[in-house]
Amino acid sequence: MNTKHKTPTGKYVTILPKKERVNRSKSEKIIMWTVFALLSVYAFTLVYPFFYLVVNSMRDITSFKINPFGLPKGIKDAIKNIKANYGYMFVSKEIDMNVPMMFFNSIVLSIGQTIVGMALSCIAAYVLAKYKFKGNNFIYVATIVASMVPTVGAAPATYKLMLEAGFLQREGVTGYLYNYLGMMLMVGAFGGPFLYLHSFFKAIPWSYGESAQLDGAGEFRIFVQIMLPLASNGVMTFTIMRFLGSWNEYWGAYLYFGSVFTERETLAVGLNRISKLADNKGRFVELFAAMVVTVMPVFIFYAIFQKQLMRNTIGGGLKG
Amino acid sequence: MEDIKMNKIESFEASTAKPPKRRGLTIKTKKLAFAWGMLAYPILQFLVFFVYVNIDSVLMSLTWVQTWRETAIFPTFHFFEKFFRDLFVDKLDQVVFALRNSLLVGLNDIVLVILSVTLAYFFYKKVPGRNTFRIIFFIPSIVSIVIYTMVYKYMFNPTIGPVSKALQWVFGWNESTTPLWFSQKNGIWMIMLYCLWVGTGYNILILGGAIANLPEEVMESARLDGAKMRHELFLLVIPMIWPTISVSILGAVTTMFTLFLQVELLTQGDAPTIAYLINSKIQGSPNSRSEAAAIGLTFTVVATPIILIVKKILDKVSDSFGF
Repeated sequence: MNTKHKTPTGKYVTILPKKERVNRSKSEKIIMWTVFALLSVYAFTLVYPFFYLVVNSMRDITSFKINPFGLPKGIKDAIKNIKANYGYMFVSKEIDMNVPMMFFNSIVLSIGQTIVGMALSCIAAYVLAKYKFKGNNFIYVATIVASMVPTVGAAPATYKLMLEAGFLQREGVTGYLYNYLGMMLMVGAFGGPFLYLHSFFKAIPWSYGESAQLDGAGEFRIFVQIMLPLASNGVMTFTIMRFLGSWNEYWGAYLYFGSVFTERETLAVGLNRISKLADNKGRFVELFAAMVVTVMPVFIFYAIFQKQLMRNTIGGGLKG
Repeated sequence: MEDIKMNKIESFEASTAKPPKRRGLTIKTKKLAFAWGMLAYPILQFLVFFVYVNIDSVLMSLTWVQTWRETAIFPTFHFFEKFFRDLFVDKLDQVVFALRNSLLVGLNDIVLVILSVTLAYFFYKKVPGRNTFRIIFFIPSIVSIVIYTMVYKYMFNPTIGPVSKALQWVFGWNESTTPLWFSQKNGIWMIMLYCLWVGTGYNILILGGAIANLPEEVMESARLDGAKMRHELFLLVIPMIWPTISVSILGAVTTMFTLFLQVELLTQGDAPTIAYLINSKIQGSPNSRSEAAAIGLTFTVVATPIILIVKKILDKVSDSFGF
């Protein structure tokens, strides 16, 4: 229980309770510290590879090959190598690498898929949660059943559909736009976010909508101006998750976007292709630079939205 | 007068009575028009990209294009026959390996769940550093699988990889005698290790969230009755978070039939799974896609009852706990 105390200067300060002490037996203490050691090693293995990438992207290939665990020789050396490695990876004909284009593809695809996906999920979740009509329950159950059936072999038919509809083969700007449209059409409303948003909207009392209705608001206005802001916490979280998912997406982006024309590769797709070429040519440090560029936006996002992401995706029950 | 009328209008959601008529369309009609108008595209998209695609998948699996005769035979079980012949008669390495590897991946995921439950319990018991661990353990779920598989491969690279270098130092290997980690022989074990590596942290957080929501008074009274850690874990925590564990186990069983990206990115297909077999044929000829559809359909038929049976067993276990 937090208590307020008056200080000698007359101000009130909140005194927080002392950290709860956990009484443990000796054997329990040993177990806890052993688990701590194990988790520390595990956490180190998750973080170290990124440290390795960042540090080695600032080194030259000769010193890296002599000692992969070393550090840049100094700040001047690091700056020189950053210029060389990051500059090389930005546009390189040697390994057919065009990071700005990959970056552009990743951004437009992620933003498009996020907007379309979230708009459709919100609309479908809201309507099915708030409007009673014949077929409502059937649609809801059908989408749940569909998500439970492991349709292992649907991918060939989807690819055939996209191929025969002509979304994949056209060249040039028109082809790009056509391909992009195909990618957007593939984004559906139903799935994980839909189910969560459905329960979010279900939990919002209709009385808010009712008052707006009495003030003359139409159905669409109630949805956009009343209900969506009330569900903003969930919507925001799934928007971030959706964006990160699209940014990191490999298979769909490869199969339907980047596999036919190299200039349509996203960062994830392009990186995987050039990693083989970079391996063969020994261009490790340049590849590490490209990997750092790819992963940096994700870490920036994570740094900004970390609390919200964790609270809404792994449950609010994570007590400290 | 208009206001009084409006006040009588009950929410469409709650009301079953006929709403009063307005000029033109009734409120109910407007609401219906809005609901169906908004749902039209999502439903159409679902019908095309789920219903049609799955029906077409069945049709594709029954179609065999004979290019030399320029005809397509339909219906035929040619591709189903081929798959079963490859598996049971010819015992093609790739198909047999794929089946074995898929089973191993499923088992590995169950090990992952068990490991995660145990470690999540220690999170609940306030292991030191848990707040930092939480932030770190979430990272694999937001970083691209391409990046993680690449760094994982580089860690094991015999020339530049820290793990390989450490193992070379321990076992006295040199670059040429270091095992080929991502070969057909070792690849599946490396895929399993990878899945454990990136999956454990996130699973700890999910299961830790479930444990943290357990009623503290129940745990407290057990402690007062002298319950030790193992009693708490096996007699209270596991039974009480069983629904969350069930979902994780069902996810593990489904992974058996769907995991393929790790195979492509880590081993370039040298250690295939069933899902890899299917996906590797997508960009081939129409017959190659038909073959993929046939294998996919076979495993959808196999997977569905397996998943339902596992779910039934998990529900029974849940009932036996009596929570």
